[in-house]
Amino acid sequence: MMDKTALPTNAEKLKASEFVPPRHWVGVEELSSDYWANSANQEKRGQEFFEKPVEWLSKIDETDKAGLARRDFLTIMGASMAMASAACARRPVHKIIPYVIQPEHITPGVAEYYATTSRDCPCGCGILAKTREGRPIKLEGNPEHPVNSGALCARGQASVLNLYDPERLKTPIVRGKGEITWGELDGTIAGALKTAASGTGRVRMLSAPSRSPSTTRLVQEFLSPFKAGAWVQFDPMSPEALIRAQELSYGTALIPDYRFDRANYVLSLGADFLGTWMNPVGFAKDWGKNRQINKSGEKDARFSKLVTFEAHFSLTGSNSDERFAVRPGDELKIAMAILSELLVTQKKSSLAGDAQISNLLQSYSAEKVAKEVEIEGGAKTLARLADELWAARGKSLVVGGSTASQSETALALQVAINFLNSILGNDGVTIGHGGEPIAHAVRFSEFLKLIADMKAGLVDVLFIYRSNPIYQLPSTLGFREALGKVPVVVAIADREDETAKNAMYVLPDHHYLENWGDYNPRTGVYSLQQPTIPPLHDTRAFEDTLIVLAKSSDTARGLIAKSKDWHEFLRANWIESHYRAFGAGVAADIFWENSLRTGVVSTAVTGNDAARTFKSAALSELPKYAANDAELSLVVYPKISLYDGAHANNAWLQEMPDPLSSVTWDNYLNIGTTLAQKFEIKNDDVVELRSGDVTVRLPANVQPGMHPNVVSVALGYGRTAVGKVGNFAGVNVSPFLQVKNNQLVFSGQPATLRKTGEVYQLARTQWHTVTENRPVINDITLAEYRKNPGKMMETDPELKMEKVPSIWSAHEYTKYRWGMSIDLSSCIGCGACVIGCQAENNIAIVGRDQVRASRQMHWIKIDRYYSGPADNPSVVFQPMICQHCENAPCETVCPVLATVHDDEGLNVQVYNRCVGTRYCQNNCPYKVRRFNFFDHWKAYEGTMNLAWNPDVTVRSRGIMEKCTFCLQRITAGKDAAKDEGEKAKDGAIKTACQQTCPTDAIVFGDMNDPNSRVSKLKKIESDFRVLENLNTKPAVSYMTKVRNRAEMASAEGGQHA
Amino acid sequence: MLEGTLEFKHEVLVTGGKTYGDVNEDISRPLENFPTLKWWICFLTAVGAFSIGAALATYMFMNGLGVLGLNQPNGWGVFIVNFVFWVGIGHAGTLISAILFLFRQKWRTAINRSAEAMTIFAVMTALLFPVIHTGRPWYAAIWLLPYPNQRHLWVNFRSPLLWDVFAVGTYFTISLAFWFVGLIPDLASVRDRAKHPLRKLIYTILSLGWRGSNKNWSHYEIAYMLLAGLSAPLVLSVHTIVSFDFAVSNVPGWHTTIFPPYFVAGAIFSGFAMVVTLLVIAREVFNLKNYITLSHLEKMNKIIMATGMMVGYAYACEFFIAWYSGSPFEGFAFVNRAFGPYWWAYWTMASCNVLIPQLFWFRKFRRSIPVMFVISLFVNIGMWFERFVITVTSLHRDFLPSSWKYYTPSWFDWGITLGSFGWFFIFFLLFCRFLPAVAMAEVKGVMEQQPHG
Repeated sequence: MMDKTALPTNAEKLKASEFVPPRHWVGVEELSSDYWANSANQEKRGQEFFEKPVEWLSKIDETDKAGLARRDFLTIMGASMAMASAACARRPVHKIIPYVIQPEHITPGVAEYYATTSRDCPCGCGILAKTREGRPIKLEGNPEHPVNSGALCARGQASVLNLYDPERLKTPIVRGKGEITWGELDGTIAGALKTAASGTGRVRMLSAPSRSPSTTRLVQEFLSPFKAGAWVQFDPMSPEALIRAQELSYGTALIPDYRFDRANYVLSLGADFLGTWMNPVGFAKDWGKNRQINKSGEKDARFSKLVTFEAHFSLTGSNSDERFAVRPGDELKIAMAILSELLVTQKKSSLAGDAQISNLLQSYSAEKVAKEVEIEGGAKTLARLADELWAARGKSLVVGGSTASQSETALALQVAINFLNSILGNDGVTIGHGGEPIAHAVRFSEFLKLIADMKAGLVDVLFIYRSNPIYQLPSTLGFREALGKVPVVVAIADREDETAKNAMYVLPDHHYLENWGDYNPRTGVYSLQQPTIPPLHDTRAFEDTLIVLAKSSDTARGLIAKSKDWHEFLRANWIESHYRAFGAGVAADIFWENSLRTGVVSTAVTGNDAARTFKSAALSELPKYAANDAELSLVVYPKISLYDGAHANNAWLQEMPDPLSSVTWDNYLNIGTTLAQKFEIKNDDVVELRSGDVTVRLPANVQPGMHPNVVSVALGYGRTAVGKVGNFAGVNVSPFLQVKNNQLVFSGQPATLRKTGEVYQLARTQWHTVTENRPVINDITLAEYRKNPGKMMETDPELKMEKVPSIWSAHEYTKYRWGMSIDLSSCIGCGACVIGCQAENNIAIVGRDQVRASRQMHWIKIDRYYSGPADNPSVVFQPMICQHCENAPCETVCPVLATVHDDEGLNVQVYNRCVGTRYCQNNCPYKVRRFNFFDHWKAYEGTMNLAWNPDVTVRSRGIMEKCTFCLQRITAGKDAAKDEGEKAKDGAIKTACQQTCPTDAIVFGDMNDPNSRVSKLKKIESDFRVLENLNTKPAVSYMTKVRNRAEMASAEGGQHA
Repeated sequence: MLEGTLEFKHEVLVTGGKTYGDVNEDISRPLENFPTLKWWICFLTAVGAFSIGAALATYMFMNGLGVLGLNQPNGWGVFIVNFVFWVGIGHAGTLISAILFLFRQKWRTAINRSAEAMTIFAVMTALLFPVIHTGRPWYAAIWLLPYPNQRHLWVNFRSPLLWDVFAVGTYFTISLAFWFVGLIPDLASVRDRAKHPLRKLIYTILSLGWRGSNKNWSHYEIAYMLLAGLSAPLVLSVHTIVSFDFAVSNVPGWHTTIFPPYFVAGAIFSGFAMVVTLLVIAREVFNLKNYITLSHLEKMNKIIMATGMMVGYAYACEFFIAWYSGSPFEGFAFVNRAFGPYWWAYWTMASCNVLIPQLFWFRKFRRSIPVMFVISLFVNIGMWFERFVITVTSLHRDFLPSSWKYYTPSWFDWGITLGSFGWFFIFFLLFCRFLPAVAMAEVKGVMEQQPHG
């Protein structure tokens, strides 16, 4: 049904720009420059298809209007039912166009992988972009990449859809005139630049902090001819306080290298490092290495402990062994109290005798802090935590600083954390700082100065590159008004967003999958980015724009003057910067090609860095104790799905359920159970939230575990100019941000609430949140686990039903039998698998109303169960997918044999045969089957249709679907093994969810092979199957959730199984 | 009839001193006159209701089942409730015609014709739902049949839905044949009275050359008895198999062995209630009070009360077994039925089906037309809710609490349900208009012997 046309390569464009086509590494002959110089070869690439992708896409737009309009409905309303049912059975036919001349490096049906770098967020994860017939369809983490080691988060998985967003800006535009050609545009802007260069030179560049060394160099060279040129790097999400605290504490401004894999004990003071803080995939990967006790098979294996104090219930908090809800700002008091306990009370460190330190810390005694912050267990708890930290010194890690803890004392918190880490001897061990620090000239004060300059008329030309301050910041800062004072504003963006709407010129940028680039995600790691598809639209890379403008305004200097285009610039800069360090023994060209192939060069981190000396002068940043008497404080946090909202038009992300609230498509006010009772607020009640002069109305989500004096709201929603998916989804809460001491304050503002009496139904995917004592989850403390890993199975005899006599002969699996094991101790509920699965398996999006009606299509549903008291519950996540039962209840009841058991243990769904009785869904005890209530696939418009995976059927309405264990990946793996004449090796076939899981919680493999990893895991005592007493014999099993704490949550709040 | 001569004490089954001639006259009158205003009002209302349902169903076919209230745990809803409800209604006809015939219950003659007609139309209505509730009815209508094909595509004989196809299909075929055979002598009477040539032609064809000869009668009686014998087991089998749709699954609240007898009792219960509802109207509209007498209705009401108590026993038994089994899922399912979010449906069901029919202990109420009419309506409502309770309350909270979700039917569900009533009544009204609503020949057989003349 879907168009299988490969995306044409664009010969015309290649010729026009004299752009040397990307030399991907497949096919040795292509590596010689003669190959592409041969015009015959170039022509071959373009002649089979439409001349330009744009032309081809416009055709798609026309033919895909297959939906029925209301008028059509009225026309046929009188027709008989029989006629109607006959009329709707046909789907539009799309023709498949074969290659006339086969491109040499493309085998239709075989995927090509290109190593590149994920650039839709600041993490800089390495990816392998899977392309089919010239179009990227799936992103997978690059296993060789030191930042993410093969994993990718939900946002990374979803960023392929950003490429195909039909609402990307397709041509450059001029305010008031509309579309314009690049030539005309370059002339106009170059004119302005020429004037500036010869005159005052007041050119400004505004962008997010650049971590791309080549782009940084390019921008610096671009700005160098302008006397008063300046580059302002600004992103509200960047960890400015952390960088400044590093400078104050240790002398150098840098982002340190957090090594969670070396930490046995992690104390998070508000840092959501598993969800949204800094580089969550890499952190989760590293942290997860110490949470693999189940899979190690040894009950004495290392198991780290995570303790969290946080103002918002984050993903990190939900995975904590001990979690304490505090008010924003209290994180600092906790850090100080622990310091006080260590230095003043227990006099543990050599610094204990320091009078200045003692004086400062005395006011933060554990008793006082515990009393004010109302820590469960009081000062004893803080003393115990201090003891535990001390015991783990050198192997512990204290982190802090997500926006949830970015209150007025954010800088002090970071200084206190640095001090704590230094005292504990963590600096240099679990916190690396060696090597070349990442260039980070991020100062919010510079941004404020820019606004002042703009207002004063001191800026002639302003470039805004992928920065959206009008949306991200409160309007009281006056950026919009200031823009009006700048004669030439050039916005380089992917769409006409809130800020670009106020720019004179809007220049469409490439998506990162269309562009070259490099990235420095962390010290010593240099990641390369290469195009995986020719530009879909008439866009141009930001960097090429700068080069063209520099040349046409006669201001080209340095490497810009020497480079024809961005690709050449990048290549030259890459070789110049890294050839010496990483290219030993090969020619420069070969080094470049090797870099493209691997996607990254890096220095391995071995051993420890030297411990830095903590500068006691930094302690002056620590304030005197001040009681917090705020009745209600506000926390503004980023959600794991939308983060800062830049990609709010991505429907996969909008429909991704929040790990804790399970809400999709909207943001909401998180309010604790106690506070909700006080205000008589229930879920979905619309609440008026007021802080300062700002009032917003948004629906409430009663979130167990929120502090009774704190409410929180998510950033990234309420966009107005992002596209029809994201516009007006939720409420923009950036007006709540405040500027104090030239710093952005996200949290800790006093707030008031008022219940409006209106109701707005949030679209949730899970309503009931406790297990009702059913054999669904196993949950055990570490101490118990060490005694007997299988204890839970003994206490509940219904859990184990191994030998049940059967009157039927069992299935025979002669070759493979696929199975999976999911470790609940490792699973952090981040949802990367959900989106990875969606990208891999063409899972449709259904929209807010259909989620409300409980018709979401995700094949993986991460069930979240609470236990313990409602004001601070324990959480367990359980990814629920098709269990591929041996005795599958769905198989027996289908009247047309549309769901059958195959000889490899898979429960396969035959889409073509399915008539949609939904009996299988009723009879599935795990409720993992998803019915297509409508033609949901039609929500994919225009370019989005390029994102479909051609290996997977796109399902029409009226049929059932569910997890297939990535049948197409199994087939590809078996085919590859068959070429070698053997069975697929264990681990060679990975399901999409397993591939992207940051904590390696999912293991998939052949259960027929007793030596496979999955077979071994299933023999471990802590491995259990859900609802085993039904004798469905699932191929999916789960491993007990282990919590590193003294005892399970008390029974006072609905303890589950 | 055959054994009439052996009886020495007659129950008076036809009142008002009717003669054989009067019987023909009274019962053929609605067929031979221009339809009354009352009939037209009823008929147009039914057509209107059907049109609403048909229009909504057309929209549903064009856009998808999403217009209904179904959702992720609730794969089945009002459509399946309607299916079971209508199949249940269809039980009374065969019971009255076949089983009561074999037990020589002569009072059945007054009502068997219309009860059988009701059966056939109810099954026709019921059959709509399994087809239109599927995601792709254009395939379901064909692929559920085991037709030979070169692709070796076959149906799944393990699936209760397939058993349904055969069970309901067989039931419909036999009921139709049985009904038609019973009609032959009466069609011949109508033919003989017909004056218009076209009318005469049609009834001539339908009466298959009936002459009323001794041989005719002899063959007829044998055929009728054989068909009655064939139909009798079907009364038990159809709803047994319909109950398997639920009982064979593993859903708590469905997976119970009591379902077959429970469903059959419920079906007879609802079928008789529907017959009473229809006959109370029909004897009024078509002036058949001397044929469908109060004592007939009283007998029906006794059966309603008896089957109602059987159903009540089943409700209690389910609770007991759920507790006795010790299965937490079963126990929860039943507590949730009575006290969960759908408590209102459960208590509607229990009061309509168990409490209200208890009024029939009193002879006065059994013989009161208004009381029995109201009670029969309550039973119809209660039995619809019984199927709703079984279908929905079990599905909406099954094994994994994470997937629980409330089910609310949409107005498409209600509109198409309304359409199904329209569909049923269109056929029933056409039947009253064109075919003798009371079996004339059989009624004559149970009347007081009269001198020829």
